Amino acid sequence: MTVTSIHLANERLTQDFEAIFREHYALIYRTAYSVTGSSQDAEDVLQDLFLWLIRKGIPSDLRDIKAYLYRAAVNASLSIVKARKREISRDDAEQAELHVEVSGTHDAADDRDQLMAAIAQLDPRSVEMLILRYEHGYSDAGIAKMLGTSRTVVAVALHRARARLKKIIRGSSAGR
Amino acid sequence: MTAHKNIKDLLRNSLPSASKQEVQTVGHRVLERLQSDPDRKPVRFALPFDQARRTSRQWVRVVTIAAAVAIAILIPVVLLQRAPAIFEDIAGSRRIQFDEVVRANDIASSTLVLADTSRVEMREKSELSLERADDGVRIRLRNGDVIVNAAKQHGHLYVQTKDVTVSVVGTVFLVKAEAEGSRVAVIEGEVHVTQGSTETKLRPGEEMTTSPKMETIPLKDEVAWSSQAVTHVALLLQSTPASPVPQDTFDVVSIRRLPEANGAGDGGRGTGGQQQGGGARGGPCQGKLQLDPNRLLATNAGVYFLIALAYDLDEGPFPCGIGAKAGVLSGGPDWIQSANFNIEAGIPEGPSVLITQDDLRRGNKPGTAPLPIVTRKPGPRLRNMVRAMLEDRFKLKLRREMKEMPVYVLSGGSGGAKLTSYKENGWIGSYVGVGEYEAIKNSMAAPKPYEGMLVGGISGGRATTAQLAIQLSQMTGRPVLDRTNLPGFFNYEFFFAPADYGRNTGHDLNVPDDPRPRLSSPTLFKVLEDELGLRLVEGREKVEVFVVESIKRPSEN
Repeated sequence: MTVTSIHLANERLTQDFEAIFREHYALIYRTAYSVTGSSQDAEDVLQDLFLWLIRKGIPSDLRDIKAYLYRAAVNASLSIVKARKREISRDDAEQAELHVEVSGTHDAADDRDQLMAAIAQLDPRSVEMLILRYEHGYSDAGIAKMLGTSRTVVAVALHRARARLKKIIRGSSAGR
Repeated sequence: MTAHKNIKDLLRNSLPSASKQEVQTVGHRVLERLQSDPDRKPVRFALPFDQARRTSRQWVRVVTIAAAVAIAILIPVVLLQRAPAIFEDIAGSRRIQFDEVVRANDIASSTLVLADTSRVEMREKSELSLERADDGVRIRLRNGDVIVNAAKQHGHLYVQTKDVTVSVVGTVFLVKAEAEGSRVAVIEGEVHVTQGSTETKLRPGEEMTTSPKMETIPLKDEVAWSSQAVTHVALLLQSTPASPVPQDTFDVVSIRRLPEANGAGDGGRGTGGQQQGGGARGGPCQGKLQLDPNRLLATNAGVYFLIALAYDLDEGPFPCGIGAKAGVLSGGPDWIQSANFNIEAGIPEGPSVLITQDDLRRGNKPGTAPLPIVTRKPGPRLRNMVRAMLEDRFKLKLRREMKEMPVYVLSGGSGGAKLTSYKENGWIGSYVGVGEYEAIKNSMAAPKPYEGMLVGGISGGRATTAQLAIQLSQMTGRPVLDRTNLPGFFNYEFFFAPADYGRNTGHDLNVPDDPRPRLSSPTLFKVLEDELGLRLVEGREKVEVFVVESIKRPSEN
């Protein structure tokens, strides 16, 4: 019976993942942070997304990994925000009531909270476009290229997304 | 938002934005964690990353994905309840029975999913069959290569070739069966290989062959056929002796002994019972752990608490309190029953020592911490550091042995399990305890006619049967072994007569003149069988126990 130590060289495969990580982590983290508003949630999204990639591998028919990762980050972040909202509505009704009572004055934090709550109600495609525009500073053309659509579609979708946001926020303010 | 505020301004000014420095710091930290522990569990569960590949015909994709998920998840779950394993290859899934010969197809690897969720990846053209073993399942590898990712806590798994038997619990390893002989190599964990009367222990990065005629191939090449090759190689890189691994010892350790609590040590002597309730400070299982990447802070820590931390008992079926009561943790001089310490230890730089994961449990009091709580849990390196500290500063000498002890065994009832599978976006959380029904019930569940009564209650949302077994351990005060062989996540909530379970869960119900009525039936055992289709029966099992042979009070600094 022979027992030998196994020696391993550096692996190209792991290097590939590291290169992809280094190229895209900032986009993913910033996106997740903008949608969730939480550094911890954003870090979780970043980590889980790459864990998922390590396990499943990069789909062989994928044409644009950046767009793929971006969409994944938005989807994951939205589901965290939605899960959080569900938990609050189920388990913490008393605290929610308290929150309403003390939120008579408006400040920057109110604006941010209202905006994020409203964004969570949009469809993922609209969120993808809004975050690309207002967090990452993409032009209509840049968004169109990233998401594989036309400039006209982007312009119309952004307009509608902003209108929907406005409506949600107004409705929310009126309900207070 | 003020009414006049322009929505564009709001988006520009109020959208949360991370600073450049924060982005870099987080990126560095996550990359380090991924490199040091690529097999970690995701923090969030079932993230919809697949949705990232939407097209304009999204609904078609949604239907396709839903169908695929149903096939990939639901069918195996249903089938596994009736078969020892499911075989998955490019042609689909099918049930496998004991003694049936399974052959991987000629063009790609296939996977066998055992009922305990262990996964056996078969290289193309490999051939095996499953057999019943006295205490688990045996894979008889007739020909070819398999990589086994063995689940924990579900009995033993053996892989047998014509000349060796590999015994394993919770690890990842490769077995190759050829005409010349067999090869076994460990990727993670530890396996015991029996050849004739010789038993060899293999650790990560080690391999053995049964014949010198077998060609020596680097393991990275041996596992290259696997769909999980990247993960296996990354795991190996961590454990390869040739790679520069930092020593697993703390930089600096500060230990301060706390004054003993009044009466601590009485009654628990010799058994190491955990002090419950009332904020009692003494007790070998007491302790609070705080972790950050650079520091460990153990407050009011008892000796057993530290041993459980060092040997990963806190995450298993015998957490410290239950383990100490049952005798899984025992021994040592009298003083360890009442001595508690504040320990602050510096963690050296290097590969991450922590595992970040969502606790997702809301704690034992409904209404508190309703949001997912992100906790950082000790990884294997940190546990090694605690072991080294115990050996160095406490001069701890520990004996580990197998011992038969009374347990409860949780298994499927005669009519089959009736657990409800967790549904996407369903309730996530857990509760175990005794209290007033209104206070402990889950608001989402259908009400029971127990208003105003003291009841025992257990609930779980997106919980495994292993987690249910731990909850039952906490409730009954006795180790509960999960033998349900039910993979997947479930939602459950049930109530029962509190009996004297309150003292196990820190809820003392022995209040004189307490006017509150107590639920008198059903019993925990009855409700498990009636509502969940599970049986909880007494038994005796051999489990690994930890006995303190000698220990000294550490010098303070």
